[in-house]
Amino acid sequence: MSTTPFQLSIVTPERTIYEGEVTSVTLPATDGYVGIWANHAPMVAAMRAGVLTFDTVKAQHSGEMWAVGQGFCEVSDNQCIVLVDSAQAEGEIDYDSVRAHLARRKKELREHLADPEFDAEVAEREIEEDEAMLRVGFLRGSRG
Amino acid sequence: MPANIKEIERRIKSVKNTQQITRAMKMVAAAKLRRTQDKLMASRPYGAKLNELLRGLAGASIDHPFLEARDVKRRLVVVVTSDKGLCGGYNSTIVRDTHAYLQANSDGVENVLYLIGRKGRDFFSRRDWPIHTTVDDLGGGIDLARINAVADEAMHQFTTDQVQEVVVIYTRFVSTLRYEPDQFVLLPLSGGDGDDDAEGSGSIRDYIYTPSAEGVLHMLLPKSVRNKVFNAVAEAFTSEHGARMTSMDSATNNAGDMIDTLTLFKNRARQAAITQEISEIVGGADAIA
Repeated sequence: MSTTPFQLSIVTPERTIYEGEVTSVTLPATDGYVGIWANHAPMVAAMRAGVLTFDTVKAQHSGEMWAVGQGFCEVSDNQCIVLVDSAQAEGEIDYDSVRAHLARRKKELREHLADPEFDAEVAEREIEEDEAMLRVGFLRGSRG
Repeated sequence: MPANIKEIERRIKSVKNTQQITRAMKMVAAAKLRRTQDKLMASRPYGAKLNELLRGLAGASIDHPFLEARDVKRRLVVVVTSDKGLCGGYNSTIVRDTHAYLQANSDGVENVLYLIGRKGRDFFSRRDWPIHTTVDDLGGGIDLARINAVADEAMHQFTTDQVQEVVVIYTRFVSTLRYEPDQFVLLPLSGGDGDDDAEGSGSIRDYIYTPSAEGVLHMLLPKSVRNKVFNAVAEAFTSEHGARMTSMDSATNNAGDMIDTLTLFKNRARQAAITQEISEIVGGADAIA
């Protein structure tokens, strides 16, 4: 396992949520999860909502897990910048309200499938974000 | 000026009350200004990075509905004003500019208004232009989800060809004492923002684009539109609080000046009364002697 550190920042439209040195990052690109180590080739990736994990320099094996929304990731010069709609550290997730919200949005989406006024794209995006948050709980549970 | 001492005292008291209120309002505005300004600053890195990514893709000639200029038959005009008054010329400036814009750009184009802020609604509800929506409960608070909804609605209307252009008129925050009305065309997006100076021009490099340059751009454009709207609203609300703070500060100062003048009058009246009393006594004594 690589121990060379590099910079990670997680930035949302509202603020910079995380900044620090990490040894590896795994993030949800649109065509599958991508792992990044130090000295990665310059890359710009589109991201869908999902689970982002990273190992900090201090705690090699207890990786941090975040639920992130859609966005982008740019890697260059040992700097990884993640631009996402939203980012939630695992401790901040309120699973019950996420489940309730997810159920409501799914129902709305089903009911409004034929309605051109209903913004299905937004609904789908929110569903993806909710599912990402629930997945964090699932992964954490299975890791034990 | 009132000659009666009692009456002057009453007025001084009332002005002092007003001063207390304006001072409190100034304080509240200052606190809100700091909060919104912090938010505005905190949102800068995201926008800057987004623009940088866009610039990196500006060379690639890619088709996207947002980049496509069509004949404008209907235009959505998004105007950002405040919900509350007492902020000096803030609202009148933006309303005047919007009015001028609408009058200058109405030839063969139907302008539809999307109003953020109660003050804008109050003005335009009595005018000729149709109002699509008013949002009047933000109260100068920067709420990302609500502002994104505005951008999403604008994009929806543009892609479904209900409008062929979207213009945003807002107030740009320069400093606490300076704010300027500004406007820009939100959609269609003009390729590559030229307003950022050539900083970072050396950082053009070969990126691996995942899934592809086109795929990234397709996701990037809607985010950029949202970010532009968010930024405009955040700047406008920051300006609003700044304007309110300045105008309440000058109101407090004016009240202070007024109290000084009234106190002077009061003393003058008191002295006049004393002088009169003395001259009456002297006159009386003379009469006896």
